[in-house]
Amino acid sequence: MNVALRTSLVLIGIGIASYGAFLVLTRFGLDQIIGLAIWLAAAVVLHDFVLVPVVTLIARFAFGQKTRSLAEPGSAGSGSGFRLIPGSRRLAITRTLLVAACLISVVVVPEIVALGRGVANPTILPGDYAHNLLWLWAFVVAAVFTVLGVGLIAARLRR
Amino acid sequence: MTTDSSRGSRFDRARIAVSSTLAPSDPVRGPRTAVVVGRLLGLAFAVCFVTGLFSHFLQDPLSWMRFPTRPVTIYQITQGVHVAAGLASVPLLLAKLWTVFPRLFTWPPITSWVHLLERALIGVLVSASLLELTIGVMNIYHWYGWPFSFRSTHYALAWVIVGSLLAHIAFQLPRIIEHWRVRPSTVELDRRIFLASIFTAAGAILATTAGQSTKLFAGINLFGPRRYGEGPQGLPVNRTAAAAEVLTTAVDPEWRLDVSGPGVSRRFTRDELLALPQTQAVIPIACVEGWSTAAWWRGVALREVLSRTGIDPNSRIRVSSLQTRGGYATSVMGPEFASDDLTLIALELNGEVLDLDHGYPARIIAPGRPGVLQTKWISTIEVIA
Repeated sequence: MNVALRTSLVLIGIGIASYGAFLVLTRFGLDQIIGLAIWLAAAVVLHDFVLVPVVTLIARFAFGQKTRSLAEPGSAGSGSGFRLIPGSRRLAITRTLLVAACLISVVVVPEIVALGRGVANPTILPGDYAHNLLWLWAFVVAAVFTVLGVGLIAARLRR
Repeated sequence: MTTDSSRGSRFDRARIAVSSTLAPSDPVRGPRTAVVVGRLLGLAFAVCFVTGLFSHFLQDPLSWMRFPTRPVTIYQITQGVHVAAGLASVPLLLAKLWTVFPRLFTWPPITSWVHLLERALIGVLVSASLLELTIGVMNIYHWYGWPFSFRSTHYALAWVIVGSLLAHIAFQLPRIIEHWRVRPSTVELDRRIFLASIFTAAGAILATTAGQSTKLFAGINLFGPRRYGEGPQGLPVNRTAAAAEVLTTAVDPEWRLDVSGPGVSRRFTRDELLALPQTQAVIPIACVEGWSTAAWWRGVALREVLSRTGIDPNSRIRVSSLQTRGGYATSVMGPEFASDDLTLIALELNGEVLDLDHGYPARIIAPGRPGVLQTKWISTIEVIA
């Protein structure tokens, strides 16, 4: 890859980013700059040293290591590179639904908190977001149990 | 791990199981996942940046700038897309950071000055991105919890993000190109599940919030901070008449609209405005927060009022409100808006006399402008240099 091109892109990038920093340093009062610095640092600390470790622990507890053995190396003729061993499709569906529901909650929980703090007029945050989120989770949990239940029955019948 | 060496053997399967506990060889955290998630996130950020610049300069134009007034839905679309892309970026950003997280603990942490620069820029990019999305999401929920100005910060961080992202892409370019296309790999079920989760979440967030900006998704608007068409006269409200402290001044029978230009001025009562030729049009109110609702408006074209006062409609004008509290009590519009046939001094909304919360006795409604510039409870219109 062309080193000169990459070097100039890096320099242009630094220039653009510096403009953002310049805006902060020239247009913000000292209080605001300090406040912003604290929030920037807090965002990283909360993500790297709270959120990720907690999610890592939960993921290990919930999904463990066994998921990897769900895939067997693909047979010579298979184009996909791996083939699913029995049951893995169901686990794929349930894991996808559970992780997606968690990620949706990341966006919706602050909305519920904001609504709890009160709004300036009834057209702001008009929904019952806690209720809707509970329904979403109810759907996901029901789907997970259905899929796993079907899997259990199928496994019994195969035996 | 290559396809050939690991095919089939028990030993390799055991090795796969063990390696999944060790982050560096976790395929979820491989460069291919980083590229797949990263390019989507990069696209979302680029969309946010361009639409954000458009919104920023509509509100704070440089003197030479002129803006499109058609289609009338242009700002409804750009700002709806801005907020939707920002919301979808939340799972994408978390996923991107997840894929590269072990690299935070690379040892030795720094190998050269260039490496130091690269890592410092990544730190800036990560920090700014996390905060940008956090305050963006909080802002659309009206949760103003920060000790700084939202708009100035959101704008400045956008430049920081775009610049450090460009540098990051330049640093990683060979690896991005190497992993741009999928290559056969033995074990990637975990990776597929991971990507499916992220895309499901992003898609679901889009689908369940887009209903605040478009009727198409209104039926599944589970989590949008607004509802399409919900509010007095079928339109959401940001600042009510009570909040703006105009409850008495707006209904005062002595209310007049003062219109003035170089050497000319004229005052209009509401009845006089109603007696002028009326224009009606369907124009959306589109808020910087991303929500919008189309409405039927009726009133006098601004250019009509300017002409009758003896003012060239191709002027830059300032509109002032009766409101005494809160920002956006005045708005400035360039000649492209002032002279537009569809820029109205609106007197009626959806077939009724304008509601007090929507700006009675008269408000500005112009095509393609952010809602904060659609000044309510107007009292003066003046030409500025």
